[in-house]
Amino acid sequence: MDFLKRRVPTLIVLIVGFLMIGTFFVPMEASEALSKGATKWIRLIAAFTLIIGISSLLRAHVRKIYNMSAGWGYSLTLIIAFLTMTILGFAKGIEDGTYFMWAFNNIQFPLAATTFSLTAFFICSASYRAFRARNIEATIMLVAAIIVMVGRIPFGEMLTDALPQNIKFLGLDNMTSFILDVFNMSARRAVLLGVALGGIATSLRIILGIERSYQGKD
Amino acid sequence: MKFDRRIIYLFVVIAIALPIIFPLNLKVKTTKEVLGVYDPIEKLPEGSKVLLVYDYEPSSGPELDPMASAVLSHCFEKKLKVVGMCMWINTGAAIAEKNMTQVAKMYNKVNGTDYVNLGYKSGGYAVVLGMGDNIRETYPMDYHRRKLDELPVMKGINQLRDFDYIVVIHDDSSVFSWINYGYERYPDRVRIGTGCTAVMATGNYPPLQAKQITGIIGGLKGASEYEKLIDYKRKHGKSGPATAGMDSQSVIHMFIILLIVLGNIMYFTVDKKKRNND
Repeated sequence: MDFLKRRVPTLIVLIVGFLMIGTFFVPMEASEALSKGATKWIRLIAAFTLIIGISSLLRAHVRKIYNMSAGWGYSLTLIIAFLTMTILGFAKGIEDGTYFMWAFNNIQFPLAATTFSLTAFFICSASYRAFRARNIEATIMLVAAIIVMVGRIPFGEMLTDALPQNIKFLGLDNMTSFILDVFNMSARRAVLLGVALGGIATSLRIILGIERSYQGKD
Repeated sequence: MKFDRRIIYLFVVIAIALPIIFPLNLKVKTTKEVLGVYDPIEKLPEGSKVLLVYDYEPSSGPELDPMASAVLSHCFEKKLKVVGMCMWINTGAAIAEKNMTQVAKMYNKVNGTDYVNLGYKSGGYAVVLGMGDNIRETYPMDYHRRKLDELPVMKGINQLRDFDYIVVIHDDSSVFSWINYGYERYPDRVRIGTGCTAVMATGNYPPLQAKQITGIIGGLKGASEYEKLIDYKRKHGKSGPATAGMDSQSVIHMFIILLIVLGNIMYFTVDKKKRNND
């Protein structure tokens, strides 16, 4: 049993992993065909994960309704909304002018946008309560944030528009560009490099069978 | 010193609503990042093919819809062929349908002839790889379930490299799939510009500096710059949705700064005394 559950998947990952790496470096017809075939498989598998996602979502919420757990009304709303959109989509189509698009344009879109817009209230409240110059690091961040916030709006650009040409670089828009182009970009690049190196290391661990958490506990 | 946060909320409502009712008409300056998307489209000859990727949720719609509309308007004005699609966020398919239909009506463009929405395809980066090899295998049909071969707009478009320019509008990091599996595979042919929410924009500077993308339209500000570049107000007789929103954004940004300053004054005066007494 251990052979089927552990060794076979590890072997498949090892072979497929090295084959896929090879397709990127070997410009042969056979490797290109293999790469094309693999991308088709990935798309197919991704479609099936959608089915698994939907079924587990529905199961979790049906269980919540069945047990009358706290907030079961929200679960009921979710299932009704899910079924309504699915039925509308399958029965009448999803093109512009259909009931599906009407529901999307007039219910889903405004609801999602409204919910997300609420963050403006929380950001304002948090900016008063939490954004403090407690130490040097916090002060640097605070000053940079204020410069970028003002520099990214027309009002900020207007504020320093009248500066003479020889000190134009002190304009809020120029300082914003400098912060984004230099400090932000170098920090982002460092993070991206770290993520990429981490990704390579994790991929190698999975391919070589060192990291096997994807196989589950049993 | 603490006070009822509902007072802050009330001022937020006022700060957002007042500039909408009484527009300030603040002037928007264009930046090199936005010109980096505008210029490549502006230079394309009539009939060129542009891929417009709608990888965002409805929650980001108020920020990204004006951007998509501005880019699409520019393409239609230049008489370019536009293909819309999404691959990370499945609601992007309906957003593309809504946005493309609305803008196409303004320019009397015909679905299937001047533009098409391919819809959503699962698989993430594998979709980009698949499109690099053969678009018809990846997307056999469009959003309206029509075969791609039947659509005049798809004539001459078989692979990713057949597009003259790609604009990825996203609220996640999907542009990196296009860079890694589109640009890096065909660096001589694939050119990408991106549009994203303001909070995502900072993350797109490394590929911009590395010239993997040509430009960034960042948030509502970027969209308002684009509206200025395409002269939206003169052509439509009113400010574009992004430009109109910039007044509110300006006021709310200033309000947030005021709150930060006020909060720090309280922290170093009233609260400090209280901490010392404790």
